[in-house]
Amino acid sequence: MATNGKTPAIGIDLGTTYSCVAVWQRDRVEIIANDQGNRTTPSYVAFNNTQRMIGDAAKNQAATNPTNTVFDAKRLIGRRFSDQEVQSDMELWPFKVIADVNGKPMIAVDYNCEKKQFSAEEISSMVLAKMLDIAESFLGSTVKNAVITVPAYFNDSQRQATKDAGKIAGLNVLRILHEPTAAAIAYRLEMKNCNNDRRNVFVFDLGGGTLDVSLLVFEKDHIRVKATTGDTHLGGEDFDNNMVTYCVKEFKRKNKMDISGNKRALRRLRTACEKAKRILSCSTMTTIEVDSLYDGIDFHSSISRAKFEELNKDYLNKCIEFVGKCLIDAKMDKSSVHDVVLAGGSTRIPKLQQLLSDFFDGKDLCKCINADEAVAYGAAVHAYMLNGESSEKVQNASLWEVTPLSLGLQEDGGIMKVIIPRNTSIPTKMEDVLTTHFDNQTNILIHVYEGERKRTRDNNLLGKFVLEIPPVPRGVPQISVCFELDYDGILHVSAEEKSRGISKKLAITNDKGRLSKKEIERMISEAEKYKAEDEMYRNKVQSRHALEKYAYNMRDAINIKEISLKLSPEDKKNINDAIDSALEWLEVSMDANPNDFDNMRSTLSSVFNPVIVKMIKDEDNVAPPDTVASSGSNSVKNGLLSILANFALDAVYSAATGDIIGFASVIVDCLSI
Amino acid sequence: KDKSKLLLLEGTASKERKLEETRKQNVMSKAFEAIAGVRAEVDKLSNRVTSIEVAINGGNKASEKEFLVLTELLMSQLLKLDGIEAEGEAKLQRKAEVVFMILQLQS
Repeated sequence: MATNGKTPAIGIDLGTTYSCVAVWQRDRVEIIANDQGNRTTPSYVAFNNTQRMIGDAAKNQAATNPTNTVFDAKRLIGRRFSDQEVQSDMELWPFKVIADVNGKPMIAVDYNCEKKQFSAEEISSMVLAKMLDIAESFLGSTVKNAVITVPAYFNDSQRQATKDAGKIAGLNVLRILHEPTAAAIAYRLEMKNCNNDRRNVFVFDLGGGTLDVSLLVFEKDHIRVKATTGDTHLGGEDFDNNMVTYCVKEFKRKNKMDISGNKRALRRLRTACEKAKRILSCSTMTTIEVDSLYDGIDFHSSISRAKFEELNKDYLNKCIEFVGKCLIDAKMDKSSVHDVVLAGGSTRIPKLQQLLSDFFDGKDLCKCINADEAVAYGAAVHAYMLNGESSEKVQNASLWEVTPLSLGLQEDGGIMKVIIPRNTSIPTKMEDVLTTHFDNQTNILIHVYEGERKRTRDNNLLGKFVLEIPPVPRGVPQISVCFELDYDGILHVSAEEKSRGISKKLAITNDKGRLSKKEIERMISEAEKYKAEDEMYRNKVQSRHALEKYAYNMRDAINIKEISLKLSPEDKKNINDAIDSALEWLEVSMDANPNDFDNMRSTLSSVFNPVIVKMIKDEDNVAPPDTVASSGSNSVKNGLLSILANFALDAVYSAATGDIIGFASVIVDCLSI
Repeated sequence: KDKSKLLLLEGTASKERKLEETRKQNVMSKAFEAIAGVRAEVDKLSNRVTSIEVAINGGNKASEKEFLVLTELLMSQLLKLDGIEAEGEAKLQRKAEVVFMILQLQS
């Protein structure tokens, strides 16, 4: 822990549908539960006219406010609006995505009665800020440093954008880590028998919406991602869909009725199917039961594990195909894989485990870490190491990752010339020498691309720059272009004309579609503003509750027999009227500001205090202080005061005379401090 | 001597039966409790539904949105109800409640 004055570093698994945060503490990893007690938090952000919600709160209200509930930001981050994936995903989203002037996708929502546009980085930063919040309230200290994970197939701009999101959330991003690497680190720690031999680890990560398979190589003190592949739209939700389709067919067969057009029935069915799917991972048979599903008819069907497997046969086989593909990419035979690691909730499906085990000739799978948490687990271990702390349990393994896509230049005729081939481990530095195609050419335009296609126009343009050269006959200039990939997988390109020593550098950080430094700064300050607004809203809700409680306590207090008997009916009516009007006011004024609450509170106390103070004073007057009876009356008085204190109404004494001058509600006062 | 042995056997058997019964009772009462919880929520909501219906019939636009919110709240209660494990008497109760809620949702 932070014994040397350092703040702890956390690991964040920023997922497409769910995120998870973990920290290394007391020689073990702690997965941190959120304020709802859940160990994973939905990657959802929602806006409405009064407040912003993140996580469970946002997901729970998603159905009532679909156009302003944003999720799947991970599918947008670092992409361009014109990307095919973005275009096809857009059709499935209930929220609106538009292109800004640079062709960057922006999410349009209504927030506080205003039209607002957010970039995917900002939405992700809100989720990250929420995760940070969860970690800080668990640790009870501020947290700055974090490791964030991204899928291994993320390209340069997606990584950079994720890093930017971390910056906007106020985090110091120690490293952008591959998800499979993180999962593998987690298991390496768990594997006690792991020695220093070279080990090939296969990571199979099937979550709610995506499949990632990767092959890693663990060597003495470093880890290398050898190959990675996957499907961005294959996961647990697809299995649910298949089950729902099956149930709809069953219903039709039994009752000759088609329910596929009834949204409500489908939603009930989907909830029941998801539950059944989870049950089928541990028992072989379950029933899907929905009362009065459609037209008063109950749906009742038992489903076996075998049936479930049959329904999803295609998807399951597809998963295994990707495993084979990944091994081919890595040029490795399946017999040389030492460990197979599982991550993601959908890997709990027994059939999938069996298929995987069969594929690797009956190998045992590593599944001792909760599949939903393995990635965050590993990220926390890595964050701890990068934070410069060491422990006997955490071996100091440095990480070598690979670039998921080839990086190269555009050659004459729009052909891609690869400088750094895919699956090269990073950091790396590679050079190539170019020359001119025309006589007396005075400048050379260098386009930097990433991708696997032959023609550059099918690949992703990362950036371009111009190098000016002195006019000489073609083929004479020797221009060396150097590609350098740093630890975060971010590319720097430099070009140099050898004979004259003219050079130019380009860090691929600020091309179109990526946030500039200025924009990030603006977003950081906006993020603080949004946070302040959230805070204000929370205060408002708290003052509302405090006032409500104050009023109810008052009513309860005067209804207690001891007090009730001492008050005149008239006084009681006055107090009750004041309480009623306060409660009514609360009901109608949803948008009141804190001052209004204060005013209302003083109105209430101005009715309540004189009556009660008088009651206490009367008690004093019944028995003059100098008589023996005074102790008796004092005890009555004290009794009354303690009853009031039970309702959080404490006596306030005048400083000058020591008399009681009023009552303050403890609940309200502790807020104003 | 024989008699005492017999008694003992009967004792264990009935004990087991009793345990089984209490277990069932527990499951049942849990289901009843859960259903009652949902019902209380639904009762609150249906009051609001009625008042909003009046407002909508009066041509109030703003209430339509609230109506949507209410529908959603009802729907989430319905999903909760669907998730209650029940058998026998409790199952009948669950069904009755579901039918009632669907009527509410359709109105």
